[in-house]
Amino acid sequence: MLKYLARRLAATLMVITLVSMSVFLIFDVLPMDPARLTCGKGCSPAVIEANRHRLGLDVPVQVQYGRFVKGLFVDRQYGDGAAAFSCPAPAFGYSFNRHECVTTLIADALPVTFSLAIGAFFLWLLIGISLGVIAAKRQGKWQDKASTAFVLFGISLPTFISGILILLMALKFRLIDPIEMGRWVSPFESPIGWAKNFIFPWLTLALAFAATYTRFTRSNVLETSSEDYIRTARAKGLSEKVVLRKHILRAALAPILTIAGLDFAGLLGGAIITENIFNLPGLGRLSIRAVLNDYDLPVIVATTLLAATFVVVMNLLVDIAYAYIDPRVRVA
Amino acid sequence: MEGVAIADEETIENAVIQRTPRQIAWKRFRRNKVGVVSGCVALFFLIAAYLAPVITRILGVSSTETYPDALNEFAMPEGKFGGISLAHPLGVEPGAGRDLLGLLLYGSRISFTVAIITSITSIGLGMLIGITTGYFRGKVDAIVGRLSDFLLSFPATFMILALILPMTQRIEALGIAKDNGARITVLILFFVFFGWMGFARLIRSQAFSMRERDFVMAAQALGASSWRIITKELLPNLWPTAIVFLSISLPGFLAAEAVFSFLGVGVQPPAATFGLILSDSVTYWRDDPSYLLIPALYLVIIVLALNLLGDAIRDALDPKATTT
Repeated sequence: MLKYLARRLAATLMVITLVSMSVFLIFDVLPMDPARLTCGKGCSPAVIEANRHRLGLDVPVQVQYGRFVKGLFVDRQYGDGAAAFSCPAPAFGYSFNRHECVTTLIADALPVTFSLAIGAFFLWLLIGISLGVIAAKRQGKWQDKASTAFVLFGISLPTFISGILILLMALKFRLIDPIEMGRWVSPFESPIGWAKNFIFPWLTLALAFAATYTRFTRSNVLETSSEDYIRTARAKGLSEKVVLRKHILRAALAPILTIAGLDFAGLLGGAIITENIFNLPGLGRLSIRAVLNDYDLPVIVATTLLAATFVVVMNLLVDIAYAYIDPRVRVA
Repeated sequence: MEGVAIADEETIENAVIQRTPRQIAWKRFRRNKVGVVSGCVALFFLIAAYLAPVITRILGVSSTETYPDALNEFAMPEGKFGGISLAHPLGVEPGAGRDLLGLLLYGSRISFTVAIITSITSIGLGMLIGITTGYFRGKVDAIVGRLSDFLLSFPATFMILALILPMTQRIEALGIAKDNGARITVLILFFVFFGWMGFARLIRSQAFSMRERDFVMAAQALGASSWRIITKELLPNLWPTAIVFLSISLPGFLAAEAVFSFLGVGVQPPAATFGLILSDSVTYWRDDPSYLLIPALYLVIIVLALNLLGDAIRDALDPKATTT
């Protein structure tokens, strides 16, 4: 087991390194001059060159990458002399357009995105798994048909449409205060205010995800129910409740965990559409603003890398968890 | 001659009606009413999208012309339901005052084009890669496997967001396409680049197990070349998977295009796509809810019809289903 863990960990680190290297390389090859983007249209070449030097963009891409990696562990210095400034570790870069260290921007945005993702995650698991189990147990009955209709509805309604509709309904019935909307409330200060802030974004995301989970749970439960060991369990006189809980669900939910982990990790990188619609200052809105407003490259690189890291790390966690949960998986 | 004639009559009498798998699937599909109806609906919207110039001419509207007469002094559509009238069957756009049906027809043409080209290209690419890796295995398989793992760990949405602007500039600089043409080209390229892995894996695993089957071994024993085995033995067996995957990925890519134009990085105005119209309509929803609901409904009907059609096709081509 330890050997397996070490191997997976090494592979994960390698993937993260490779992804970050490719991202740096891609942005270096592009016909974009980040130094040119640091100031407006009437910018003199001298200012651009000065900024280029201050941001460390005047060195080859491999050196830039080296400095970036170093900045993750020790404070990063920019410029020299009187114009020098630094970003504390872990430094993801410096946003010249917003005059802030990227880490600060991310630290502000991450709690918002995390709150959004975690609430939606539990909501969609609850809805998806329970509907899926009910549909499978009542196969062909009205409950099954209703859940099929829900699945089709959820899958065919793009998030940006359901999000707009939920937002507008909430505004119409005065369930959201348009002025308070999108203001960050810490769950430790006011749990109710926090939940109130996020309930409609949670619903939006959960609606989309719950549909796929319902469908997946249903087919998994049905497939597992026809296995021989379920018949054995029933034959030895176990109650239907125990069979469902201990025998069917344990096997049927293991693959769902894999997808759930990856979906959650994907959301942690930023739920771009939902954050945009509900005006939530999370990672998704941070990156879309960086792209649309002034092409703030350090922010774009940082959010992209962060999103990739979440997915890769979660992949590892899911694999490890899987070995514990599914009794059929044995790692040599 | 007589003997032959007798034999023929005998065969006819004892004949069991034989049907090809395609005929069986088609028969099964035709019996699925939901599938047939949604297929017709999808086809209707598809044809309408590509006949947009003809339809708008017949109705006497245009997607580029503005109709200031249809707007009141606040630039809101005159009349109920977003100004629905004989002249403007789905009403007019608030603000600029273009005909909404015209906008939706031309907009859905862009969405369909992106979705169809992307689906077919990524499935073609996935098929090629999947068969190559599944049939030849070895080093190529290992390398491609790693590559697709690697690509899967890229956050596709973020990469597209970050790269669409510079890539569009590059395409314009190269003179391949201009403005929205360049943006659509970039979108398609990215969707394909990040979209082939899932299908390639599926095809790889099927080709992998199929090459061990007797009919492939028989072909090999007869001295058939790899090319012949792939095209004559494997491909016919992989088609159903491709068709099912195509029908599933079409609505996905259709909605994906809408997402990027909704976020403001896809197709740009004055062109109108679902994403652009919907993000614009949020501004007007209090005074003109029809401008929000009609395009939303238009898009949802298309996606729903395509999803239902996909389900029906999957059921019809399912080899596990009873062949009746």
